[in-house]
Amino acid sequence: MGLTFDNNRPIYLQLMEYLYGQICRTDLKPGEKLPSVRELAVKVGVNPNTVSRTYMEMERKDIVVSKRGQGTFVTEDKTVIQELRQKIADDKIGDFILMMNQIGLKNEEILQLMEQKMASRKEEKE
Amino acid sequence: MNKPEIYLKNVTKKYLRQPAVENISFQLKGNGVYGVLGENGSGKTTLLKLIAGLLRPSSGTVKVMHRPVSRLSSKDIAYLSDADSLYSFQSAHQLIHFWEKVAPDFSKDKAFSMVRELNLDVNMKIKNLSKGNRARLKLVIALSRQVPVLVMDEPLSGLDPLVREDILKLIVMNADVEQQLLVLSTHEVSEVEAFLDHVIFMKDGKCILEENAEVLREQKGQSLVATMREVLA
Amino acid sequence: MWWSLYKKEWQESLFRFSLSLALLTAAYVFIYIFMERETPLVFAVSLAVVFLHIFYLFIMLLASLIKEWKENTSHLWMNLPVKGYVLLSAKLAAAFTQFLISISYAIVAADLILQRAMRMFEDSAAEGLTGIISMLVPLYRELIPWVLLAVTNGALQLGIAAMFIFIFSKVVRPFGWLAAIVLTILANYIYTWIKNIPLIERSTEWLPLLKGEEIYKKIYALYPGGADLMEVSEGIMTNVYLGQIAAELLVLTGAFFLISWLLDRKVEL
Repeated sequence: MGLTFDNNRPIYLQLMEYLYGQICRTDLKPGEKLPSVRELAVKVGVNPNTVSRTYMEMERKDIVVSKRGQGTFVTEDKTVIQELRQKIADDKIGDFILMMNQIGLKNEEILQLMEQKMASRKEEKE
Repeated sequence: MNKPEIYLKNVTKKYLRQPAVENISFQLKGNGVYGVLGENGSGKTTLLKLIAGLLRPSSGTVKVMHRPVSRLSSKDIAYLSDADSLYSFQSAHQLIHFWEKVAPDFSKDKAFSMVRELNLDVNMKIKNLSKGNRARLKLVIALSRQVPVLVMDEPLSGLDPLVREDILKLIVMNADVEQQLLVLSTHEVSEVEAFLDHVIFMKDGKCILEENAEVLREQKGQSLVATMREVLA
Repeated sequence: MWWSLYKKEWQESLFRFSLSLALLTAAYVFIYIFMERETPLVFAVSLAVVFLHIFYLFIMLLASLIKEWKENTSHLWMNLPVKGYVLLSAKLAAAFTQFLISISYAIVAADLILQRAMRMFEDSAAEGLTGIISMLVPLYRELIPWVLLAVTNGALQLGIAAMFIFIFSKVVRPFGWLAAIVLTILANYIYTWIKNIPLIERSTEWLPLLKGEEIYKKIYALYPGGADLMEVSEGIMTNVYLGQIAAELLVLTGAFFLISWLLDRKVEL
């Protein structure tokens, strides 16, 4: 079945990250319906309650809205998605810089390394 | 359907003075998938039969839906045995019609739609079905009942990997885990890891840990398999 | 609901029932053909046929329950959301229907056999005997309902006993079956004792259905001058009352519900 999880971390968090990825790169477009709890559970191979919890957490953060009797939809508010993308990027880059600093690299060195790497790589998706 | 609840208080079951489960107390409240995990012979089957009202505790209390359990608790509990428990002389068709007549909570339509999806030959006598198909059919019956509590004893054991995956899919698709409380026992934790909301670890007839699965992962930073190895050691 | 269970019990027991009918057919054919040549053996076979019917419910119910446990279908049977008396009455009714079919068959077979016996004796017997023999068939036909009643009563008692013994063996382990046999014998003994308390005995003696005296008259009438001997055996004459049958049924029903209660509350898988 679908996704491979790192069983050392809560599954709902990993599922949320997976869905955020889809939303940020608009595989799931603003206003689009998310798969039903059961469908997604079967697709990724988890318990429907885990999917429910993920949807609930995402709703609490206003990334999705659930409409009674219709299902769960990606928010139509593009600024929210933009903020989400921004936040994930901030977090990840923050972590990255911290890590590079920890192995003794100065900020200019990091930037330099990044530019070199970027030049030799094409864009990737997940 | 009422909110499911299972309550055990100081439950001990002895066979000729030999305890099979010893002094177990816990309360399971609300919907979700509860895994009873432990090695063979750790008392899982006995515990599940006690919950289903098919065994009587030597001491202690077992209540389901606030009432002490007995055979008559079967109106609230669908029990899936680990044995080949279907009438071999019936066909799947006869079996489903039989259940429709006998259990008021049984959904014939749900049963037939599952059977259709599984491509089972409904007119074949059950004794002529393959082992995997008999296991699937047994599950179809349990899943077609709209009862608050589902008790499944080793639904995966003794089956091919492909069948096991199929059976898990069948459970996830058709158990109403937003309403029902599903207790299932297994000694193969890795396969059900992602499906459990809650775990109950059993060793030598005792319940040694009972906790929410995500909480365990968060607290211990490790998988249920690793936790099991740790607590059962 | 009940009919589905009843149908399932029929389906389950069909093979045993067919086997029993086949055996009986063989027995009847044997008696019919060999009655003059192998008289002692024919007598033994006839006795076996009677015993099979008295023990029919006992054997069939025990077989059905044992199979339920042996093939693990008890896991499903015990989880059926249906009261115990419904489960057990479906088993009892299926076996009882088969019993009735089997005994009707036996009555017809016995009638045919007696008719043949009559023709045979008419050919060979001495003048004086023909009169007696010609009365045998009508007498048989007249008395058969009472024989049927007695056999049915015995079969039902044994059937209920079989259920009790099996169910009790799943309540008390091990050796529950042994305790149940002792309890059954004890209960039967006490029941007979209560039945014979004069006050109780009299209270059930209403609506006589069959007068013992009349039967004896008819039997003795078979012998020339037999009617004169009648006075001697007055002591063993008994009547059959509807009240007795009702009391008997009441006790059996009580026992049945006790067993159903045990199944619901005490039986373990």
